[in-house]
Amino acid sequence: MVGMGESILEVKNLHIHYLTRVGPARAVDGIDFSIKKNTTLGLIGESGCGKTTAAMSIMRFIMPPGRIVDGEILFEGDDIVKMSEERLRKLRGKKLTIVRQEAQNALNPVMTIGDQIAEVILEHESVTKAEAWERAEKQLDLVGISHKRIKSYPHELSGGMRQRVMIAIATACHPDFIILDEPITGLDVIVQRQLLVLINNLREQLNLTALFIAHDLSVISETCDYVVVMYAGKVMERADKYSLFGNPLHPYSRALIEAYPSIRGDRKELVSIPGAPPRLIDPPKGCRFHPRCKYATDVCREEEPELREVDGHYVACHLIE
Amino acid sequence: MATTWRVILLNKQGKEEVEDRTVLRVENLKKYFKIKKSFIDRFTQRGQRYIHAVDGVNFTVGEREILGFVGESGCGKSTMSRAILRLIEPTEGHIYFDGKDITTMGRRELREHRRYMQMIFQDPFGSLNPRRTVADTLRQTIRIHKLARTLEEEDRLIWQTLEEVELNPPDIYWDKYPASLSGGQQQRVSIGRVLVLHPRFIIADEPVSMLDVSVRIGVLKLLLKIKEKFGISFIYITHDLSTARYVCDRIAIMYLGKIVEIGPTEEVLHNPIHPYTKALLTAVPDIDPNVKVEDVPIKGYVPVLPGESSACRFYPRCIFAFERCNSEEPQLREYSEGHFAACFLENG
Repeated sequence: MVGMGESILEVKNLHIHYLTRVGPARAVDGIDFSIKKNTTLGLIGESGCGKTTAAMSIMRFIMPPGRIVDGEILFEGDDIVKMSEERLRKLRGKKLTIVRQEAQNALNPVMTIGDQIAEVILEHESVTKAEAWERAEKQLDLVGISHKRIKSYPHELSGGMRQRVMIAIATACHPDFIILDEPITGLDVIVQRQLLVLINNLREQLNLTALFIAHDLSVISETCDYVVVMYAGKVMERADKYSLFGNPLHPYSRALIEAYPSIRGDRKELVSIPGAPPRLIDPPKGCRFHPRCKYATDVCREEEPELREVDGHYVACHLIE
Repeated sequence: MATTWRVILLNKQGKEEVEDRTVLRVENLKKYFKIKKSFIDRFTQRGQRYIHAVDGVNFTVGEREILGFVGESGCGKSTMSRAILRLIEPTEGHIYFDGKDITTMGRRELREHRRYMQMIFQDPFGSLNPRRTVADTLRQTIRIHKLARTLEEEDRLIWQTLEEVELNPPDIYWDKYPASLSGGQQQRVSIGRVLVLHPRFIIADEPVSMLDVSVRIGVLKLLLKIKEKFGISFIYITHDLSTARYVCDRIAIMYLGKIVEIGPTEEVLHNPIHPYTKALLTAVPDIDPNVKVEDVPIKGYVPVLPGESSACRFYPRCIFAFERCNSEEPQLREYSEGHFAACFLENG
């Protein structure tokens, strides 16, 4: 990743396995990336490529049968993998927060949204209940919900508004770092756009550093500064968004972009990617993408490519010079 | 295969284009749902209230045409598709399939026609029986509709169908259960199950929205292929304008149970008239990182219970609205050839 600046999060050689009856599924298999202060990193990949597992590991939410087998996750220099539960508790929800997909499941149905926002503030800061409540009202206004609705229950809100509440909770304690795991998936297009605008504004207003996870290329393109493309537990390519979308190097990134239907400009011929993503229990030998890659050669079938720097991109492909 | 319509096509070889046959005509289709009376309602004079889920929809689908219905959740697109197949009874209106009114058909007659009108659902895993192999899934359909006489004939038909939906070679997939197939392959099986009946008309309800980006295009291409090869007409229901652009000949935009705009795909995308269409188009995210993220030109939220109204349904959310929009309901009118919109604004 080019450019100077202090990185707030560094993921090094991370391996996460899910133990199954037929052997470990290597959901995340040696990924590296880092995020600089005040930037947003986008993580794209298809379902099952390990992007959500990677995000969960940053909060250390990996539960058995999942296990962080190897690697480091440095948050402001401290390794989250080895951190004590107690320290982690202080970090989660305060400096390190997450907005997950499907807010309807993440909110407590029997608590008002005001209580749920105030709860986080009371947990992490020494304030009175009245102060916390007042700040909860401000948070609601910040995310575009009238503070008059502070006593509403989650079921009284629409999907988009519930996601706004989630964002209000996640930003209540002025976090340094926020993980947005498919925050707009499953919502209507117009609501999606309104949330994207909100997220972009908040990032500027609150000086947030963010990890944005999505399967939709366009959403990443509209929100992120840097992009990591994942496939079957591996990083395929990493670059800033202008070079990634303007000049993708890895055949997988290129294929994803060629398969993307756009509504703007001329109607282009779309190219589909043959086959399906591999199972993570017995991933293909060599490059993980080779069975679906139209340029694959013998070396791709045998040897696993390393992530190398080429023209400012980091790319894992034998064929890129 | 030898249904009457196909014979007509063969007799007029080379003139298929001239004969522009309408496969489906929907006239003034309405579906209202009763709202359960609350405790308080019993003591007040308020009568029965209804949700107007589909409120007077008119359109036709031509031979080998794909008509897309695009709208947000709750706009009535799925209710409409179910009413067209009479999976739920329409409140009012007529549906003509190949010139015959299916709204007045009895059960038995309807069953015969249903074979030619099929549906593909959003969740392929949910619509396949998890305890039936790929071959048995198709075999069941073949048996119910008595498409084969012997076991060999059944096998041959299954084999051909699997080849047709590009599950090649078929013997790999033959004995597999849905759980061991990928989403794209599952969707191909459900397309195969429909295709084996040689339908004339298919409603595809969000067929690719649960699939991964990399396999979506493959499934869409398959739909386009079977459309050409077997002369099937489609209604393609989606919330995603970008995939609609890729497959549809015409697009209809729905808002709260009404068609607000309908026209040839590129025409609707490049010269949208209705303010709602414009809002939808701005909202679609773009892959080009140089495009600026703009807010949507719309206000408020989708109302929860659309009922009786004498105003334009989009009035509360429209940023261009004027007095007339609140007192009169706009009807669809033609702006350019085949391009209709329901709006009082001159050029949208």
